[in-house]
Amino acid sequence: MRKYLEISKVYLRNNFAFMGDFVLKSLFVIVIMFIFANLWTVIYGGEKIIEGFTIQMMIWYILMAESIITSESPIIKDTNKEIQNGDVAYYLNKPYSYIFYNIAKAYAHIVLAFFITFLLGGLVVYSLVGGISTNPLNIIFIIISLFLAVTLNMIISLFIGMLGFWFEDTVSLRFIYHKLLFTLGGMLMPLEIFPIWLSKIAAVLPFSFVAYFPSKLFVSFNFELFIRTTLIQIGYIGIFGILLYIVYKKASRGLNINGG
Amino acid sequence: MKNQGAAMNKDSKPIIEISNLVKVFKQKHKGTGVKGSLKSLFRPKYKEFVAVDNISFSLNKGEIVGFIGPNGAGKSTTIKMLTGILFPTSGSMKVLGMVPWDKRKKLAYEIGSVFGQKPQLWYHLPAIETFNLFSKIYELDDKKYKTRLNYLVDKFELRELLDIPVRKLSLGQRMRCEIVAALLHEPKVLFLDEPTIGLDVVAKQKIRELIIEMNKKEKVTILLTSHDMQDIEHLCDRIIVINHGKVIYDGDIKKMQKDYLQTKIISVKFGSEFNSIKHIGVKTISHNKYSAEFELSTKDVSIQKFISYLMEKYNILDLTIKESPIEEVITKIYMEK
Repeated sequence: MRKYLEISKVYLRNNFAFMGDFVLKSLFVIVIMFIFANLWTVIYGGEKIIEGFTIQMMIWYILMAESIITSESPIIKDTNKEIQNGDVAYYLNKPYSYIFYNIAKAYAHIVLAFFITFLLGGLVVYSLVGGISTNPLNIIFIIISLFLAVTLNMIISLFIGMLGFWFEDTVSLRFIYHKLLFTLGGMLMPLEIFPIWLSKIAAVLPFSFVAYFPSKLFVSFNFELFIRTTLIQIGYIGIFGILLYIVYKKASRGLNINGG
Repeated sequence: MKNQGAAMNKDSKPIIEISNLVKVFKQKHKGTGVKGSLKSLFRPKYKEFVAVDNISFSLNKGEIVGFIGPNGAGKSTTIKMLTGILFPTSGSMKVLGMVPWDKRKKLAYEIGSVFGQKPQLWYHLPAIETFNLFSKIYELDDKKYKTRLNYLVDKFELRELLDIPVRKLSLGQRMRCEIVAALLHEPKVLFLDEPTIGLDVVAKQKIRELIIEMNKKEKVTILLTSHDMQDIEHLCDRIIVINHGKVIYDGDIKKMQKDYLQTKIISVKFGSEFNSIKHIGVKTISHNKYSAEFELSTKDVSIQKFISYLMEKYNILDLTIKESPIEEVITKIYMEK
């Protein structure tokens, strides 16, 4: 465990060299949130509440969902690249698990990127629509759900990255996964806005447990929803964790490393 | 003697044992054009490629063995099997008594590797950060690690470089850091893959001296792959040549030169003006007024006879006899097999 913590720390320090890049990427969220805030203000018109969301809740919801998704680590791209150019071999000859090595790096990336994105986006949202009231006691539960959400996203991403052992490239899979997160995951809008039949389907798929549910808990905390969300998040992490393990074991036995 | 460790341990159990090792890769074959791509999508065709073809050899404790061959010969595949990354198709292999693919993680604590073309140092951080990380990855005791680090830092003259980001180091400095990173956990076996690639003559020499010193002092067994034959000549007594997946030579490097090339290079400085000569079994490689270089075929003429002939004709000031360069020997072996 200690070695993976060290890997996270070193990755974080290494990435401080790209701090400018991180901040620039996060600056994008300012533009996005400005557009969303204006768009939803027009949609709301004189309405106070749409599908249980006030304008403040809606914009803070979108910021939270946006922060979760945009702060994800480039884990699919990185593992795919390592598999394609054969670099995976050089990680496999060290006394650690390649999977946990990648997870350690991904957590470090997410913590830094999430913090910057949410902070910058939060300033914009606050100045445009004001704040939302949250019971400080709920913050710990929201953090737990957030942690599980990014972990689930990471495990699914790593699973897709590992498919690179079979597919030449996972760019298309990555593209599809991201679009599912944007739509069925509820990043662009809460599931309540969807037609009922679609929101019911989306609510049981893993994508909504990455973006929708933790963001919903952030703007409208409900302990029952928290318990249900965390249990299903843990379930999905378990399922994708097992799939990842099977894929990795199978891949490493039949490993066909490029470049000799 | 470059690596005395091997001679001292000839009777001990080999550190690396490979027996009838085979690795066959399945390669997907794509047709040309859109039609071919679509066809291979629905009905993929695979072709088998034998990367390693029934090889056997062993390495004793403290040996430095040159493992050479042209590109695609099977060197990297063999090393990847030795480190447990790849599973063989058939055959057996033991490294330090362990089957690498069964005990990959356990074995990783006992082996080190340096890949000249794949740095393991974190590029934007000073080398000390990677060293500290490796101490955690290899679960080294803090006190022992500090002592080991100090020893290696002094030996490899890295004290002044420790706090400089790796990207700002010269290639030679970086390679010294790479080797230190691989030696921190006191590996018993070291795989060096092109450790001097891209380095200048001075840096290469420095790296070679350090490798020899570490080998002598710590009796670490080294398998070295390099396309630079100077590396092989300086560091190894024994050489294993692999081509098309098969071991085509395994033995003493000097003996190989003798066995494979029946030519000598004779350089002569004359006290009188040199004119061209014609002698059976001798080819003039180059010459000017007072010096010449000849290639002599020992099959056709004895060295003694040719020197006597020269001495009869000219006043000789200096004469040296050299083996043909090892590159030539290797080329000959590759071409023959």
